[in-house]
Amino acid sequence: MTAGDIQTEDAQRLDQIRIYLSPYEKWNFGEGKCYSFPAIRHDAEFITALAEFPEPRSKLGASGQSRRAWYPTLWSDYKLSFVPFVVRKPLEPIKNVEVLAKTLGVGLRELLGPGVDKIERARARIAFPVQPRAMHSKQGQKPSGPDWQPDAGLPGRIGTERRITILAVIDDGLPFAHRNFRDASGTRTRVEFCWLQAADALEQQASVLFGREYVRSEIDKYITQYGDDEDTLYRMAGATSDADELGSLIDRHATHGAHVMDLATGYAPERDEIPPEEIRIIAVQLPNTIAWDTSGFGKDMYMLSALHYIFERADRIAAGYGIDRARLVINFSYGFSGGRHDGGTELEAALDELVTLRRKEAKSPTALILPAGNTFLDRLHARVREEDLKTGEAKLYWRIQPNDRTPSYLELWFACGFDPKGYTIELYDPRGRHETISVTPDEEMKKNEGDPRREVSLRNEGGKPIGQISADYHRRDCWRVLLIVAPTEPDDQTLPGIEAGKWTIVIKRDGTAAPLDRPIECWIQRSADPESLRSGSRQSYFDHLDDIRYSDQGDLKETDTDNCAVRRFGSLNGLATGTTALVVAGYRLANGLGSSLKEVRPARYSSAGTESTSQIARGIDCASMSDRSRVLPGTWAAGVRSGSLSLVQGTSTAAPFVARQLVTTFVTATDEAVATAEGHNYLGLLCGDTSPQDPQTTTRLGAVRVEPHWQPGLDPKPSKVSSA
Amino acid sequence: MSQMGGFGGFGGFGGFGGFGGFGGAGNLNVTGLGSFLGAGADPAYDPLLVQGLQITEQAITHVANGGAEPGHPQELRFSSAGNMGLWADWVRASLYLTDFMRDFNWSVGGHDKCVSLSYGGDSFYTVHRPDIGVFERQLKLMRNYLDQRPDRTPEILTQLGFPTPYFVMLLGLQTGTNNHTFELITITQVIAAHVAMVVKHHLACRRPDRIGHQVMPMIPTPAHGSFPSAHATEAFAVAEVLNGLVEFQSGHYGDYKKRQALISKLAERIAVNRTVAGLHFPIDSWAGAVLGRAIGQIVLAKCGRGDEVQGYSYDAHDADFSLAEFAKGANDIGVKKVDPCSVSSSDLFRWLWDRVCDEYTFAR
Repeated sequence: MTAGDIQTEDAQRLDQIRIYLSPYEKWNFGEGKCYSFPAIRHDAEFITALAEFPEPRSKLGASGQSRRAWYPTLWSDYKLSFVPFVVRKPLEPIKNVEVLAKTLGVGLRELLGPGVDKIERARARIAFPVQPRAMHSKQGQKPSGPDWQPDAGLPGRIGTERRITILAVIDDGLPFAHRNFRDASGTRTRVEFCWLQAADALEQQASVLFGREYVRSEIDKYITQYGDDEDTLYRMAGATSDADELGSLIDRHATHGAHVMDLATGYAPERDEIPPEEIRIIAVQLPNTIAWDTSGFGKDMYMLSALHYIFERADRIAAGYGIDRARLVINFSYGFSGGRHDGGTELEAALDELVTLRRKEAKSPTALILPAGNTFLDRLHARVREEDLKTGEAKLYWRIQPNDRTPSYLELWFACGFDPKGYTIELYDPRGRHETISVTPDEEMKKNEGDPRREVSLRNEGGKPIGQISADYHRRDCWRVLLIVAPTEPDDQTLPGIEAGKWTIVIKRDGTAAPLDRPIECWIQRSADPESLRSGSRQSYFDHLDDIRYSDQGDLKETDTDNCAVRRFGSLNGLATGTTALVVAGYRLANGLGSSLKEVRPARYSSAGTESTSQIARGIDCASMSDRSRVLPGTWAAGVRSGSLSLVQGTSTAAPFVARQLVTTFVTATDEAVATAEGHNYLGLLCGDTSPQDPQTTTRLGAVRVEPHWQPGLDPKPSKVSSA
Repeated sequence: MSQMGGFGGFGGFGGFGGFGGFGGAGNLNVTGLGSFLGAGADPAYDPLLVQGLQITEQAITHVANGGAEPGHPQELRFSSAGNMGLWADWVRASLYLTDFMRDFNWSVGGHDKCVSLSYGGDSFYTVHRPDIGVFERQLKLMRNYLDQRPDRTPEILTQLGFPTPYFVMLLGLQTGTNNHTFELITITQVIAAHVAMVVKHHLACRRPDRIGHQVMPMIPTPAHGSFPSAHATEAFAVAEVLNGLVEFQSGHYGDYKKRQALISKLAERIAVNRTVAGLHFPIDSWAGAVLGRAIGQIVLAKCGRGDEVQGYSYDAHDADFSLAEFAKGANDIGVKKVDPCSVSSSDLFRWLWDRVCDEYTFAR
C-alpha cells in the first residue's frame, strides 16, 4: 500500500482484524480515561499492545515500508500466539475502546498482510505508549540487525573448559557501563547488548524500534572515553534522556536495576571476585514510567519485547562465538499482585510460549527467574470457599484510602472451567449505596467479538462515572469479576472522586447456582508508589476484623487465621504461576548474622502459594536471601555508580542470587545434567540447603535454600558455589 | 571557649559572611554572625574574675615598686606580614579580604546588561544577563533534578553554609593540625561569596521558584539573585585552590591526581545539589563555576602560585551544567576564553600559603 492511497486504505479498514480488549482497556479508554495516566489521557501517538491469537501463527505477512504499525525486534520465525506490536494513533481521538480496538485491528492487518485469512477471536492487551522522542517511526515494519561483532580474543582468554553462557537482566535503571560488569582489566565490558527501551531514539540506528541499543564495542568506547566520570558517560551515551514524568533513574544513587544486576552478575575487586568472562550479559531496561502497577495494565508489551530481544541477541552471541545451543538465564525481578494465578494471565502465557519454544524447538537451555512477590502481609489476597457461602452470601471488606490519586482494582476469580450461573456480586460504598452484577454473559454483548461478558458502569449521585464492574469469561475458560473504582483524590480536581473508607463486596447466589468446587480467589492490584515515583497511589486492602495480624507477643503474624477470608498464603506474584518460571522467595537468617545459613526463616513480606489448591497452580521453587536478619533488612549490592552501594529489600533481590548461581553452574554443567533439570526449570541444578522443613516453611521457601554469594558481615561466610 | 568549638574556631570565621548575609559558622549555621565576632578574640571575663584580677593586682604590685630600671621594650616589625600570626583570626580575615578587594573592581554595561570584573585593572570575567526565556527553558532540567531530592537531602541540608567538611573529607584535614588550610579554604569562600554578590546584585536574576510554580524548593530561597550561583562560585574557587595545593604538595599527596578529580567532582556535586534543592538553575552553576575558577586562580597567584589568570566570558545558552563540559574550558554553550589577567603576589597571602605548606612538610 502506498501512503495516501485512500481507496486502498478504506478497503483495508473494512478488512481490519477484529480485536477484543478486556474490561481494563474498556475503563482506561472509556469512562475512566480522565483518571488514567497522562500518556493515555492525552492520546499518545504510538500505542503499544500485545496481540493474542487463538492459534500460533506466522507473524510475518506484509512487506514494504509501513508507517502505521511496527513489530519490535522479534526472535526467530516460529509461529506465535502472542506478538508485541506498536501502532500509530489515527488522526481522530480515541474516544472509546471500540476506536482503540479498530486502530489496533487496522495496524495488525497491515502487519500480517492481506494474504492472511480472517482471524477469529484475536485479542490484545494494551501497554503504555512509546514516547515520540523514543520511537523509530521511520523504520520499516521490523528492526534490522545490530552492528555487532564478537570479541575475537574472548575464546582464547576463557579457554576450552568453560562454555560461553548468557545472563540477561530485565529491569529499570541499569548501569551498563558499571565496572562490576567488566572483565578483570576494567576495560572490556561483559555486556554484549543493552537495550534502553525509553531512551531517545538515535536517528542512524535501526536495530530497535524504540529506545536505544548499545553493543559491547560502543560501551567499551564510552568507558575508554568517559570512564573516569560516569555521570558524563551516561549523559554522553544518551542514557539519561528517558526523563518524561520523572528524571532519569540512572542519575539516582541507587536503582532496583543496578542492585539486581549486580547481584545477578556483578564482580567487584573489593569483594575478591574475579569476573568470569565466559558469562556474557544482555541487559534490557524497561521504561521508568510511574505507572508500573497502578494503572490496571502494565508493561506487558515491553516485557515480551524484552524477551524476544534477549532471545534474538542470544542467537547472535551464539553464532558469533560459535557456540551451540547457548544456555541462557534471565532474571526478571518483577511481578504484580492480580492475575489468574494458574499460568493463564496473558503475559505469563506469552512468556511460557516463548521460553518453551527456545527450550524445545531451538534446543537451547533457558531459565526464567522470577521473584515470589512482597505482599505476604499486605492483605491484598482473599479467598471465598463453599463453606463461606452456606448462608447464601459472603462478604469482603475493601478499605479504600483517602488521597489516592489512581484508580483501585480488585479481581475476583472463579476457578477455571466453573460456571458461575446464579452468582451475583454487589459492591457497596461506605454509605451503603450499591451496584450489582450477575456473573453471566450479557446476551446483548454476545453479538460483539470477544469473551462472553457483562459490564456495569458505577455512577455517583450526580450520574458521573466513578467506576466499573464487569464479569468476563477470561480467555474463555475462567470467569473473572473486576471491580474498578476511581481515585479518591483525582489529579484533575474538577472530576468526582469516590468516597474513601470501607467498601463492601457481597457475593450472593440463588437456587440455580452450583456449589463452588474450588474457592473464589481474590486479589487487589498493587498500587503502591515504589521508589518515590510520585504516582500518588495509595494501597487499598482487605480490612477484615477477624484477620488476626499480631501474635500474642506483638509480632506480625505470619500465618492465616482459620475461616478468615484474608489470606497470606496465595499472595504469590501473579506473573510467577506459569510453567517455565523458576520462582524465588526471600529468606533471612533465623538467629542473627552469626547464625548458620542452614537456619533461615522466610522474610516476612515474602509471598507464597498455598499448600494445596487447584486454583493457584504454582508455588515457590526455592529461596535466597532478601533480608540479612530480623533487624538488618535487605541486602547490599552495587549502587548506580561504580564503587557505590545500595541497600534494597524484597524478593526481587533474592531472585538474582539464584540467577547467578544457575548461570555459573550452566558454564560447566554437562548437557545431560542440564537436560535432566529442564523439566523442573533447572531447580535440580541449584546448590543449597535442602533439609526438610515444616510444611508452611516449605510452602514459603520451596525445596532449596540457595546461599547468597556475598553479603557483608555474614558469618560464617557463604561457601563457594561448586559447579554441578 | 564555646565559639571555638570544633573547627568552628575557624569555621566560625566563615561567619564573616554574616556581614553580607551569606555563609555561616561551621557549616550549619546560616547567619553565623555571633560566631564570627568571637573568632580568635579573647573571651569576655565574668565580673567575679575581673574583681579577682583587680584584688590580685593590688595585692602583689608592691614587689615591683622602685629598685633597678626595668629595661626597654622592643618594637614589632613595621608593616610585616610576619605579624599576621599575632592577630586574631577575624582580623586576619579582614586583612585578607581588604587586601584582595584593593585590586578588585567591576564595570557594568547597561546596554547589553553585562558585568565585567577586573583585577589590577585587567578584566578576567564578563557575564551577560540571560534572557528570561532561557531561565524558563531551564525549568525542564530543574524538574528532572527534583527527583533526586530523596538521594541528596542530607547533603543539601549540611551545605547551607560553606560545605567545608566535604573538602575536609577529601584531604584528610584535622582541626588544630591544619588550621591554616582551613583558613585558606575559608578566606577563599568568603572572597568568592563577596565577588559573587557584586555580580548577582547587578544582574538581578530571579530565582527558580519565582519563575516556575512547580519548583517548590525544599529549603528557603536566600534573598539574593539566582545568577550566578554563589555556592558554585565558592565551591569551584576552593576546588581551584585545593587542586593547586595538592599538586604543590605532591610529596605529601602522592595520589594528588586522584584527589584533584575528586575535588573537582565534589565542586560539581555541591553546585548541582542547589539545583536539586530548587534554588538554582543549571546556568547559575555555569556562571558561578567559571567565576569561581578565576577567583581560585587569583587567590593562588596572590599566594605566589602563578601570576596569570585565564579570563572567561559567559553568555548563557539553555544547557545543563556538568564538570566534564566545564573542564574543557571554552565550549559552544556560552563559555569563551578571553585575555589572561596578570596578578602579583601579596605578602599577606604568601604568609598564609607558607603556613599552609608547613602543615604538609615531612621535615620537622
